[in-house]
Amino acid sequence: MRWLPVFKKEMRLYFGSPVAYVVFTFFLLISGWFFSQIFLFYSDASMRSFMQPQFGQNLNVVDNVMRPLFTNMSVVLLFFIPMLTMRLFAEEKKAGTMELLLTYPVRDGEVLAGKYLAALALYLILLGLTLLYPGLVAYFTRVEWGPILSGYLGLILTGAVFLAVGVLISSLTENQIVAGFGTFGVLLVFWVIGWGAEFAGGTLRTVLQYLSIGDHLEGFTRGLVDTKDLVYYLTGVGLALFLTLRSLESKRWRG
Amino acid sequence: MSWLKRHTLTAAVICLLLAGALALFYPGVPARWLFLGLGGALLLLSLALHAGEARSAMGTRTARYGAGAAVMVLLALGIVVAANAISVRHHVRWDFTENKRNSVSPQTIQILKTLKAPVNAIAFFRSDTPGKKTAEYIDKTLTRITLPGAMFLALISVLPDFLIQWFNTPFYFGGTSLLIVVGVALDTVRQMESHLLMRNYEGFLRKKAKGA
Repeated sequence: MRWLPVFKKEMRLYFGSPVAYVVFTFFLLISGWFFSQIFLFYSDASMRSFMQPQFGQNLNVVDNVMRPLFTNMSVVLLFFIPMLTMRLFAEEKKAGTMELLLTYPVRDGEVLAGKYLAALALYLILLGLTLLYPGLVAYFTRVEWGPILSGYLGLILTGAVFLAVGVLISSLTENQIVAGFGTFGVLLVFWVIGWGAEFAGGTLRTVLQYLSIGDHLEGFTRGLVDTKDLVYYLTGVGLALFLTLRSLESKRWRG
Repeated sequence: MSWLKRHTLTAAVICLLLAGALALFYPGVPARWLFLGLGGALLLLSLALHAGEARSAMGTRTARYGAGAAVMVLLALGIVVAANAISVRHHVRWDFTENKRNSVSPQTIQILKTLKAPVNAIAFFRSDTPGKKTAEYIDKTLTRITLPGAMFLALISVLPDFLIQWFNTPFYFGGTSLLIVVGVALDTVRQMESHLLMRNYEGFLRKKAKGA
């Protein structure tokens, strides 16, 4: 339980400074804009489908509002999460408090757990605030909650991977901007790597497609939970956190 | 000599990277073996040139712990790759939509279960033009079949204008309205037909039964 003080300190840093509020404000602003636009488009389309019955047979509010919203939110997260994680270790190193942190009677794993869980908690609060959108939809019409919950599960897992990569890269450098851009670059590479699958063949195609983060999110947004995707996300988080631990440890032996 | 000492390692790494890139993107080109051999040779050469430094660096704390960390990282990578490979081959999927629209329906599964033998799909195409040529051929044929129909529709849509212009007929439908009227009429007939068939009537176009 010695990760708790680290966790509390990080939470105090997030909520005691404008960071959390700025992130919340702009994320909700952008995702709310997406939601309203998609919802308006959907209501327009469903009005039109009254006149052409064969056109509107597959129209349903979860597939046509929540699914694009989840995809859009995941792209916005791609930009936001590097900024949440970039200071976690880089700032400590820059300010020289890293040595202090490492000499406290807490293990590396506990420091990492405290910092990672704090970032994850902030992210979960952020996602919790977006529950307003399905709530609004449910106020106007009947929704099926299964695909919405699985979509949120997908977003939580995607965010967990993003945060883990961000923590890893923040532990490698002492420059916050390098950490932020590095995280963004790595995530973007994993986001677009699947596009290369179109022109590749054989095993390479399968591998490229499998590495792509967006491809794994797609099933969740459709209401499908697959052990394959769960394993991808969880091993991704595990690997990134493991590498972070090694990187923290390396400070003890690097010449 | 010092120049050689400094740059052999870089050259070796470049050669090995080239070999990897060739193997990945041009699997048919045998040049990758050349680069692989060259890279290996350069690597050995640079090790030999740096023998003294290598020996002294090998014994330090940094080297020991670094090697340990590298082995751990490689092991972790191996475990992650293996776990993902296994999970791709054996995976379970749950569908959380209410009407299970992402899954195969039980009726379809039932029908599939009643199949005794593998299903044969028969397609006809010319044996001298397999693959893409056949696709183009089918596309061309379909286009040619569609052409008369399209011309007929175009004729209908401009017919009212001609009727009004040349014969001074009092025709109150425009071309598009005529198309819509014809389309709706055809569609209504088709829907009634399908309802009749569904209720086990024989439809409008039944053949004369014997004695009736």
